[in-house]
Amino acid sequence: MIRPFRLEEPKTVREAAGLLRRHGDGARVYAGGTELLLAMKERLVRCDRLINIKKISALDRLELEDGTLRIGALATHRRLEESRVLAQCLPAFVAMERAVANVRVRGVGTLGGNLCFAEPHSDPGTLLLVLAATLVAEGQDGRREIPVENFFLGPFETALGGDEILTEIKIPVPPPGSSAAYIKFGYLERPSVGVALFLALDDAAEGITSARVAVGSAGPQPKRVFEAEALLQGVGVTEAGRRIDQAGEAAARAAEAVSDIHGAADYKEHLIRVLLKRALARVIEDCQKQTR
Amino acid sequence: MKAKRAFTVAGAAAPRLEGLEKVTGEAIYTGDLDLPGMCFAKVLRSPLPHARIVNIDARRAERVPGCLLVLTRNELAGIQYVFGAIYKDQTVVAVDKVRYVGDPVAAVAAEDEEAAEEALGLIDVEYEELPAVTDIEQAIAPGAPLVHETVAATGELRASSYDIPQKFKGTNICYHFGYSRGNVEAAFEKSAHVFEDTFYFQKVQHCSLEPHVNIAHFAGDKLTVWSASQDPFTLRENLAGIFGLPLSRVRVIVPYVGGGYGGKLYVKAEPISAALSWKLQRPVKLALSMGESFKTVTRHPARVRIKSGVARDGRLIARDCEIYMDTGAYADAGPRVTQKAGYRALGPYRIPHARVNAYCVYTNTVPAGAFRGFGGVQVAWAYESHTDAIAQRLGIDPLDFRLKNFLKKGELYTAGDTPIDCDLKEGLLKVAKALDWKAPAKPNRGKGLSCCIKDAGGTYKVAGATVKMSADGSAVLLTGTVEIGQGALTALSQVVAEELGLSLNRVSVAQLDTDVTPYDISTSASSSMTVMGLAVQRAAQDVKRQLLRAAANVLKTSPKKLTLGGGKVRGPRGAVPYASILTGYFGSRAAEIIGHGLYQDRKSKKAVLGSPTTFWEVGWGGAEVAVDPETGVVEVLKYFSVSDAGKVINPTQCIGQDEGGILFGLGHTLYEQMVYEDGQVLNPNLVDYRVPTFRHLPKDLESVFLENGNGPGPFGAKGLGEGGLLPVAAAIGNAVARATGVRIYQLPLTPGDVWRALSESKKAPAGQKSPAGWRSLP
Repeated sequence: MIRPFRLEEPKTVREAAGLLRRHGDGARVYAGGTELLLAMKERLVRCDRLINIKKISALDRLELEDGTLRIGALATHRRLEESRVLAQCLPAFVAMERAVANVRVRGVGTLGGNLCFAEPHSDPGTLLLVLAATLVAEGQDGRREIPVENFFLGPFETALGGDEILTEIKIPVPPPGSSAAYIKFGYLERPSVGVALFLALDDAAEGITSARVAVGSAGPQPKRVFEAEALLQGVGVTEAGRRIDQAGEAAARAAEAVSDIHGAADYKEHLIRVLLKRALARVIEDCQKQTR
Repeated sequence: MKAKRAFTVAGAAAPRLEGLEKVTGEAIYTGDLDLPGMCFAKVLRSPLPHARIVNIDARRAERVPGCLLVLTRNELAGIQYVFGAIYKDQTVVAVDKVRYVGDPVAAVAAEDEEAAEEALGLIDVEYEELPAVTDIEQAIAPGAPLVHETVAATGELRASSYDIPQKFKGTNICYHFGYSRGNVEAAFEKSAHVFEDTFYFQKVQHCSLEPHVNIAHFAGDKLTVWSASQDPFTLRENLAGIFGLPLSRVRVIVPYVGGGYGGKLYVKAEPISAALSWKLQRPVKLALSMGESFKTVTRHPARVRIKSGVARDGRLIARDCEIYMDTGAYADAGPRVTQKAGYRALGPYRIPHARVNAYCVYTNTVPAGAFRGFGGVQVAWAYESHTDAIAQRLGIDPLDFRLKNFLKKGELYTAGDTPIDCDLKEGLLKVAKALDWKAPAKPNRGKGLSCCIKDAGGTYKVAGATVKMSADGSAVLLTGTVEIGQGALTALSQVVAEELGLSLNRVSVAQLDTDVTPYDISTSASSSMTVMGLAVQRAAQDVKRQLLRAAANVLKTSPKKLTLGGGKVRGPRGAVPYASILTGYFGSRAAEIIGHGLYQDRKSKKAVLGSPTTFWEVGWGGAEVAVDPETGVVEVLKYFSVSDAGKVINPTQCIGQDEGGILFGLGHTLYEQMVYEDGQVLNPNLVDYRVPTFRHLPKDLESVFLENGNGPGPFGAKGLGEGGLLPVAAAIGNAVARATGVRIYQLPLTPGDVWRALSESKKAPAGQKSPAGWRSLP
């Protein structure tokens, strides 16, 4: 049962930031509530005050502006999975959103809330890492942009300051001849392992000009795997196929997999290798389809 | 050949009587009730798996505004606070020790749930931690800590008495079932082949959509309880015992129940709310959360070792079974579940020399009790996996091996029991045909078969029913069968309608109330269509006899010349509506005919269980799976189920029961397990404990029924509900073994465990691989 709490409903980000600064750890930002309320019911999170940011206007916009997708932090998963703009520019993102949790969670859960809660067993963060996303945070002292690589600090821990609110997620639209994939695996409600891959190929669709790899869910936080990227970048697709096991090893190491109810650490590491291999095949095929 | 009876209502796919109410949210469940003056209870549960309670201090809690009463061991004087389904080993709240994480330590009643919750947090309990045993191996190890040092472990239930044999006193074993016939050791000597396998079954929970909930109200020395209970009469008896009341002073009312599966049998949380109400003399509602239901009752984890001797020609000649059932911290129905597991362990085969030893073991985990399949699920996983393992080692087609060894219709499972009442080959051949059994499977795919039987309808059951026909000719049924979602009330009403020549919309079912509803032992053991079905049919026939007599009187003719149909009495001079007959006979509309029906199994000293089974519930299953060798994921592509219905009373409900059973089976086969670490359950919730959903259904799922009129129930019906569930785990396990060449002995077959088994088999020297072809049986 949830303990009694006070509900604040600020109308502006500045007002919300002020409340956060004033009440410190006793206050939590409330958006979709799909993670927070569950944790409060289980008494894992105790707070006296919830700051409902859903009354703040324009935090749920979704628009394409100068080659960048700007997604308001309050956009629900449902909205994202149904967005035509997203389906056109970022099909991998839509595919990921379509498989977040279940339809009831997607209906109210928000992308911003998902990122800020930083539950390790989660999907969007891992994919955003390979999409070179930038997160926009606003506090009383102003507004700053955080590259997604620097956002996740650990389980349930982000780079947001005490009075900062995540307002927007900016994703550059990938150039033609590139593609991304997010493949997750799990048999419980939450994913055990998630692997994301982005590749840009040259005009002939034979050489990899850019590669980004990320792993999530298996360990404390989603991570870029620079070692794996270095192996894939600047080589031909056939060579990439030869190197994928080695890249998988690097990804498995980088994940810092832990044993828990979602699987044993060695199994998760194995899955990362398998999923990265599958992601490579899928992404290359998709890139080549575009050039054909 | 007997002419087939033409049915009008029995056999029709009639919609659920209460279906509209339920899907529109109008149906009233216990949790919906709000009584004047009602207060709310919450339970403080042990955080430790095993500890002595040094001190409980509730003073801080009592000062919480709105807190009415804190029930601790200090408040129990004056009642018989020790209770239990079979053994009296459980107390209303903990007295000397706590024995599992979740064991009720104290309870609070308050004006609202918030105050009750706040007060719970202010009860100070001092524990002295004790070493705990949390699985079978630990519990049976020599010198293991004892969950119960002393226990009055004797009980009598339904033609069986239960106790701890002298030689197990001072251990964690609380019950032993033994059975043997022939000369097992000599038969093993004579066997051409002897095979031994050990199988494991994990701890799972019922996961009814509605967690346990009840309201207890003491007014003076009369106790009324509203409860989501599957056996209100048993509950009444237990509560009467605790509070020293005559049965007539305890009244149990059962609103709709949101799922039972055995988890709402016997006594669960009702003594806590009743004890609070006994002190407060106000209605007390106790609604457990899903997490608390996980800490109230579970299925028995099991270790089943089976050794079989096979003759050169492929005949089974000897079997030895050793079964350990983990009943958790309190016996609950454990001794009975263990007895049934032991009794059912031989499977549907003719085995002349057989021996079974089944042991029920206490551990410091959530109590295990009745659960759909009642011990049969654990042993069916073992014996039907073992059947395939034998066939595989011998290079014999598992289909042929089964056909060769099946008991025939009319043969005895054990001496003194009801003979096998159907042709086991008929169902298995249907499954084999549906799977295209002989066709080779694609790479990484495999097919598996399974056939399971259980004695069913409960042992030594008693049921009564009443049917009242009102002046307008409509009828009300009073039955102790609880509608737990299985559709029993619809099917039983169809029996009434069929017997009385009424349309179904002229039949209603009264709310179950132990003050007025005739006695019934329990809604369990797939018994409602046979045991209660016969009581209901007899009650309706009693009404029919009286109605015909009244009609003969009114129409001045002989009852023999009259028949019932379409709500009218049909005679030589046309048809007369029942209403006219009744008002004619009674002289006014102040008219009613009451019919009674009773069914009782017979006791028999010759029967191993003290009473021959009502019928044999038989389930055949076939699965085709695809296994991803890289991830270990098992995908069930096809599942085909055959059940012996005898006579289908309502096809929609039968398919619902069977498919529901299959989905249930998929749960414990592939996904569900309560994970323990240091005595703590890590996943007592529906996020981390995976119950299968619609997306987990096989793409190709079908269930069909045999209807040979061979059941003891109305119109030849048998019971359903558990048969479809029994074969699932082994059918899938056998299919996985054939797809991969690797047999896994422990459920569930999670991707991680399948992957690990595949990896280990690759490391091991060339092991058992599926043969390319089967050799034929001599």
